[in-house]
Amino acid sequence: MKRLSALTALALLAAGCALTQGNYRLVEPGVRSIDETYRVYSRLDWSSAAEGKIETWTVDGFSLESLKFYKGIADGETMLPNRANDITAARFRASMTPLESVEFVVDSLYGSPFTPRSVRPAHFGRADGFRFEVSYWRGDGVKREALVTGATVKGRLHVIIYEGTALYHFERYRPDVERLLESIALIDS
Amino acid sequence: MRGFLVFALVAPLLGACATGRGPTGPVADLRPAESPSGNTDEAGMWMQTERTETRMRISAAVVHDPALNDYIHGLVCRLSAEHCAAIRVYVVRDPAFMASMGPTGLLKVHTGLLLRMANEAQLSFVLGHEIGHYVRRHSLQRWEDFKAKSTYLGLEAESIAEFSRVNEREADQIGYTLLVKAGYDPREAARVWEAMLAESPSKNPPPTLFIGAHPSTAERLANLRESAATAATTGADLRIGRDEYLAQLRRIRHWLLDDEVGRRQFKQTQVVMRRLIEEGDGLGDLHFHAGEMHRRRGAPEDLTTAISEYRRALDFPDAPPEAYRSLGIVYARRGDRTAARDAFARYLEKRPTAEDHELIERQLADLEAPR
Amino acid sequence: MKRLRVRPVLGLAVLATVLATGAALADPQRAPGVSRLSDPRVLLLPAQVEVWEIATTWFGVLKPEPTLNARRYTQAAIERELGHGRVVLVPYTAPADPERNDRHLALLNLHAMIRREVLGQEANPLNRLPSKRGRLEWSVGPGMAAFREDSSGATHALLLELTARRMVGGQHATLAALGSDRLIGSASLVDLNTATSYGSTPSAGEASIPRARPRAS
Repeated sequence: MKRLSALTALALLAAGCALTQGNYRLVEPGVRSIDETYRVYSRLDWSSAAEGKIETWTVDGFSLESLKFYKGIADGETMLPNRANDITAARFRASMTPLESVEFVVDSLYGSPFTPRSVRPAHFGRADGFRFEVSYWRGDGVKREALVTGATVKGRLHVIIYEGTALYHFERYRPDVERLLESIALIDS
Repeated sequence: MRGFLVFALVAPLLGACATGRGPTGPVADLRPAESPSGNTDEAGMWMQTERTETRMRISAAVVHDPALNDYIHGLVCRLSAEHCAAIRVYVVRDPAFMASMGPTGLLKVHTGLLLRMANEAQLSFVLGHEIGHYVRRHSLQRWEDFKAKSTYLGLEAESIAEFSRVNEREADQIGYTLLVKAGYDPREAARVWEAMLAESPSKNPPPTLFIGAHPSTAERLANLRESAATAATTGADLRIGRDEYLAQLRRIRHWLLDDEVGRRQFKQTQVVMRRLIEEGDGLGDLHFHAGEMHRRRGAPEDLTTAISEYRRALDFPDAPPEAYRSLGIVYARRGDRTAARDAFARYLEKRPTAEDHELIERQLADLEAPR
Repeated sequence: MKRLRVRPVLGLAVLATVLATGAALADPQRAPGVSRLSDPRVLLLPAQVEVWEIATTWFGVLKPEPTLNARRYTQAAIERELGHGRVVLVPYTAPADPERNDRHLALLNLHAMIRREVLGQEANPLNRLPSKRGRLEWSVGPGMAAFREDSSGATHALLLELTARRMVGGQHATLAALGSDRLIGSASLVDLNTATSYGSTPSAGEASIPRARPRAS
């Protein structure tokens, strides 16, 4: 039977004991390279985790808010790796227009009834991309807001999704995220 | 943790007679306005369901459409005047072909089911089936059965599944009886399952201990057809309620079809679309969505079919302007810049403030630029 | 069949959680940003207390009488522990306006989610987020002001959650040996002015009860 003494743990934290690095890395303020395709500049501390082609950052916790980098979805690939063998899943085509890319992302992640709003052209560094917003609910019944931006760079789709709880977390870090998105700079190769 | 026993109608039914015997003896039917008291398991189930219902109310999945709710509740009352006051109807936005009833009278009708019903009689049969579960207290029976059959060796899964099938047959029987008593054409009950069989011919839904095992589709369909054949159908003024039902559905069917296409289960959607097109109501919207289905599947032959479906849709007055948008996308994809440009321009004329109008304007500008 | 002695276990769990959250008010070092208030008015949100009987890990029923008893007992324990000295307890009434009520529900849902996230991080040191840099405070957002506005000037809100689970059916003997009878609880004290939440998370079975920490002086 687990006996958790939360107060002991809290006391340790408050005393500033060095803890072993866990499952997440610290992303300190500064410039960070994503997929060797572009750089972003952040002013906040984030905790990051990476799984395959998806790198996720958070400040408070992944269920509260997250900044997800989908790195280089190739022609014929699904957006989510766990749907790779699903023949009905939506697949990216390198020839997709931004309009079709928006539909691809919505089909892959949200689906009816969550419809995108404010769908417009956006710069992704110097690439021509798209951006939109969407409100949605997951099974936990908590409303979330998402801000999605992306572009096709060298034949691969790069998408950044910032999302958080509608009641609080989304707005909390939105200004920082907007600044981060403005800082996107493609890496010349 | 979910302890909430839900009876979900996910597949066709059977009409064989069965009595409502729980493992410890007969369980009396729920009386109108009865609610369990004390420390019984039933009272516990009710408490849980009440909590679920409270949370559901603020969930986005619930469709807040008073006219639709009143209509469906009216059908429930037509089927069972004595119990309908205790039954609360929630329409859940979800393209699954599903309805479920909790022990407290919490009735959820999923929009995927509404899309697939052709008339009031068919929907009423499904509602009657759910009322059967409620009145016969099947949630409680199944919990008692489950407890009795979970031994230290594990669960007696097959026995539990069989008991669940007994409940399903009983609910079918009650649904059928209520349908006939309410004056509906009993042949419509079998048609619900014919449609289901056409959509998923090779599989019965996998049984889960929550949703319960169902008798086979074919078995249920055969029994319903037999029952209907022996029922007195000559000379009677039997209600089908096609017009009344379609009038309700017309208001919402556009986004029901959006959701259906969004499932990306194209073989099943094709079956549904074919039947709806045969019914002939709202052909502009139907052909548009048939086009969407092909476009989203996106094989080369699909694109050709999509174009002809969109063009067909535009022959009808109820064609949505989105048909032009989709034509623009397909023409652009096939390299026909002129046709794409014209289609996008027509779309923007009709929907200048569409959510994606800025992106379409950008694409239009690209198409208009000299190469 | 083992009987889960809910009353004494719940009582001690409540005592521990309430003292722990009370300690947050008293110890600024542990909860930076909290100020010593002269007259805290604590809104007692309905304690989420449930006693379940389960046949497998995912299939069970709520037991109404033990649940109602546990709720009454929890309420009494809180009032006994907090309702003296400077602290004024404010009973909670759900708003009559359905929209306002739904807003309260949405806020409680959000708070529950934040608490689950915190529990997940505290339960496993590997899950702790380096970006938090050891800070304890978890904000619930400005929306919590709705509770202050709707409850005659409460300064804090106390949210308590306790779940007791007991196995039934033939699998009980096997699964109970693996420690499936559980009592899990957490408490949060939310400052309704700053929307900061202070919480603690004892978890107890029948045999192990968290030791109550003394108040910091």
